[in-house]
Amino acid sequence: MTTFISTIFGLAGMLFFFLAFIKDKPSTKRTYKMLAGAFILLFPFIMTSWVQGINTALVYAILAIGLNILLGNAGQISLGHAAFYAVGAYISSALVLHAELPLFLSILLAGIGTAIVGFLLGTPVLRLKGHFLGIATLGLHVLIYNLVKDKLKGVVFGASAKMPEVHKISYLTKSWEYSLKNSLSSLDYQIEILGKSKPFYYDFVDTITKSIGQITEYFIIFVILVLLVYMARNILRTKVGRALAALRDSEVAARMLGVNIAIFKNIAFGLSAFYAGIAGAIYAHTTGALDETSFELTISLMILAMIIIGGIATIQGAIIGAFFFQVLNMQVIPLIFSSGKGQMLGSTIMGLCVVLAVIFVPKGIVYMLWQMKIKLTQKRS
Amino acid sequence: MALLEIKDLVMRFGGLTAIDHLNMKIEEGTIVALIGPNGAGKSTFFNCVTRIYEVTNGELYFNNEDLRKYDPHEIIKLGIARSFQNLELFDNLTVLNNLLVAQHLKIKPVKTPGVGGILSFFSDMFLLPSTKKVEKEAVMEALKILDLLGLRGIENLLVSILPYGTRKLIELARALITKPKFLMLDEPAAGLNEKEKKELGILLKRIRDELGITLLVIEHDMSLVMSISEYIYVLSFGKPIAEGKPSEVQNNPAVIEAYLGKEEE
Amino acid sequence: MAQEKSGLNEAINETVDWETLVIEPSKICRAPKLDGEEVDSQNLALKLNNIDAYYGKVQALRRVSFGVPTGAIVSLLGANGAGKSTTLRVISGMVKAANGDVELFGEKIVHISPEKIVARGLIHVPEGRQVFPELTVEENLKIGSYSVKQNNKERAESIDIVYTFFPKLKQRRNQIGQTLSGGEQQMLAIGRGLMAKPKVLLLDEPSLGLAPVIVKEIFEMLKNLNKQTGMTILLVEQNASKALKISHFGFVLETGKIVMGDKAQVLLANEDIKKAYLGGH
Repeated sequence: MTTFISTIFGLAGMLFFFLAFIKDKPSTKRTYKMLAGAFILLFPFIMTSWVQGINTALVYAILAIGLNILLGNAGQISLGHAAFYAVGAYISSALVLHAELPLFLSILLAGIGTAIVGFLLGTPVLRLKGHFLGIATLGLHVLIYNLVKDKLKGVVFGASAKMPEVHKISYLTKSWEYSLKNSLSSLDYQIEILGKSKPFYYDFVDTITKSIGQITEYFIIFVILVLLVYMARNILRTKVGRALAALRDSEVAARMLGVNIAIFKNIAFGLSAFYAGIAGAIYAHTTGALDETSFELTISLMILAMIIIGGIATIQGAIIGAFFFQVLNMQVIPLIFSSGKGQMLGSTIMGLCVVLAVIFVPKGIVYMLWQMKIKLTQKRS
Repeated sequence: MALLEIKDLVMRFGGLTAIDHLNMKIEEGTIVALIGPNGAGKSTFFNCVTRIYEVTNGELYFNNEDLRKYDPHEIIKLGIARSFQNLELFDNLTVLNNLLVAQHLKIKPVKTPGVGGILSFFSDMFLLPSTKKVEKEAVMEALKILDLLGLRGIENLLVSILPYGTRKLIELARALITKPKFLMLDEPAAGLNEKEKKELGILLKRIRDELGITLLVIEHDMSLVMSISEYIYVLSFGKPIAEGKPSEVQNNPAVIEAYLGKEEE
Repeated sequence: MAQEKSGLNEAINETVDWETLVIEPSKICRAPKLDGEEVDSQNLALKLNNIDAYYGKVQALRRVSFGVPTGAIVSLLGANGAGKSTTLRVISGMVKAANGDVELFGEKIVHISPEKIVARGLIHVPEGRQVFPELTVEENLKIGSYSVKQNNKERAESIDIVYTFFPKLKQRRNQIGQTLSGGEQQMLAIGRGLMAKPKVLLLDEPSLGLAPVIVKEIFEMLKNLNKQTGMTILLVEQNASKALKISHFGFVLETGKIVMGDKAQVLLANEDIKKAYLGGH
């Protein structure tokens, strides 16, 4: 029953997003936007088993937006983006554990710190172009990966490589979780005394109590994502964003118009590192497991695939790509193949999906939706 | 003193001499044409002046400033703008955004010296009133230029879908919006029909007369060249073969042989 | 409901409006004789019927109809953005028409892929030359023959034919593409098109960015090509007077619509055309 309700709810939510995107008439668009907003607010309470997966998707969306600024908007490739993800996670952890800074300040500082690292590393690396830049960023990844493995892990965390419970985002609502659990157990007790069956909302409240930490994370990451999207959108629409697009489309013309392309390439690297740093910091304060396996090369490549599937050079594309991947990975494939063997087959299917997507929607899902929108308006006029 | 003065310019690529001992003097307020067969080194000359190529030998002065001291992105600050032979527009941006990129140096939400750049960046990030104000001014400026060139109505279209001749005009608009002292145009009439070419000729004269911009134009359409320019330089295989007033150049036998061909009508 | 009705009315109005401007191919091509050269106007190599085409939301062609008689040179004139290049792209299959038909020797080719259209004998030489910069002249030419099956001997013959029309290319046969001058690159682009032995050749702005002396040479060559091989040529050119001088027929496009069509000589003498496109000398 609950799976059925959550499936219907999820499908309805997707439909609202789709319609809000595709409709042209302002009033209709606003209605669907409000419905989509309601979906976002209600989602964690109804689809409780999905929350953890979606939280990861939100973090990936932040990463993908950052890489998209570098790749899609500035036209510079990076194959080692997980390196900055690691830098952010470790800066934030170090600030919380050793400097004892508050959680959100440390996340912000991790973003800024990673941006500075990206800006500085960009100087030698961005002299290169195309394939060579790809290889250099790959090298950057190997460097940071090994640094984490051999040195940073021990220095920051001691032996464990784990973020203590108190520094996690979910800890913010720990006290609520306890009091809710207490009242629920007293309800349990009363039901037992009265000898009655459990009230219909009992299961509902029970599952929410269990996942209250995840729900807290969901809302906090969501707010951070919205803020970051707002900032990215403004940056890309104004001076810096235009300069990045200019150097992507024609370096020589950009220079002739006074764009210092060397500095703006660094800015692109710094900006995308900022996003990766924030994502890494959030990852540190949600998952808590921070050994080198969290920052493997596959993460970099997956983020790249997300952008390509979602739609290059658009913020929506990065978000859609992240969600597409994560929903497929965490929910759909385990649903089909629940056994261990299925997991193997699952990643094969993931790969196949990427190949099919690149063949059939080469410009990404967002462009496909735009095409649909244009076709609809053509038909009407 | 001439606005642009080139002394004994030599440009070599490996064994190939693209420009061979070129001297040029362009006075302020004139329209000068640079003509010659394909591959004569005309576009190479533009790239030398705008510092995209490091010249092999020779001196370049603009307004008494030694151009060799400047980086390509600083050339615009001296007041030199240009267009390109094979179009270097920002294809994935709209016409309007192309014109906004051209105002890159002018758009400064916060003008504090030193940290102004960083403060402007934050102003942009949160779309503060200071950003909104300069952005709006820049848009108005862009629309004004589009009006001047008769291009209103296409400002929100992607550049890549527009026809060749229109894109040429947008490149002209993009150079003009930087308010240059000196404008170098590489085949501005390519892709225009004969009527449009005439209109362009009138427009170029207006740019000189009303905006006071000195023009150096590479062009193959001889009727346009003859009607607008006051002085003509002719290059062939990197060598200057003739220079002078249009009537002189037109009747120069060397020019006819290398470039114009014999008139049969 | 009311809204739908008004939309329908608009659509009808539109049809009526365009219909008067559409030019029937048969009406246009009733003048077969020209400078003593026989061109059978009823025998159409290409026929366009009510073509609509869009770029995104922008409509580029509105019910374009015209015919190109076999063995003729036909010029397509018009201002910038009138839709000339788009028309060529629709014919060669690079842009999909939203509505309408294109017939090549009586067969519909609207839904056929560009490669297959080439195999049926139609070659499009696009604007801006686009030769392979790292390949030699001869290699560039050989690539042109890959779309049609030719053995080595036939290929060598095709190359010889190209060299007879463009002796300059023969001199440069081992030079790589990027070292050619603009005029030579244009010749190479046309020559590469000829390698597929097309029956119909579409040329987009062959004179773009070329020195006057080269422009003359290229137009002269097109005239010879048409005379000697009987190849049908559809030419888009900004240099309208030069184009009309070597053409049999001309059509005028204005904001995506055909507004006029006639024998080239008639168009050359037409005062309106002179004023609008020839610079009115």
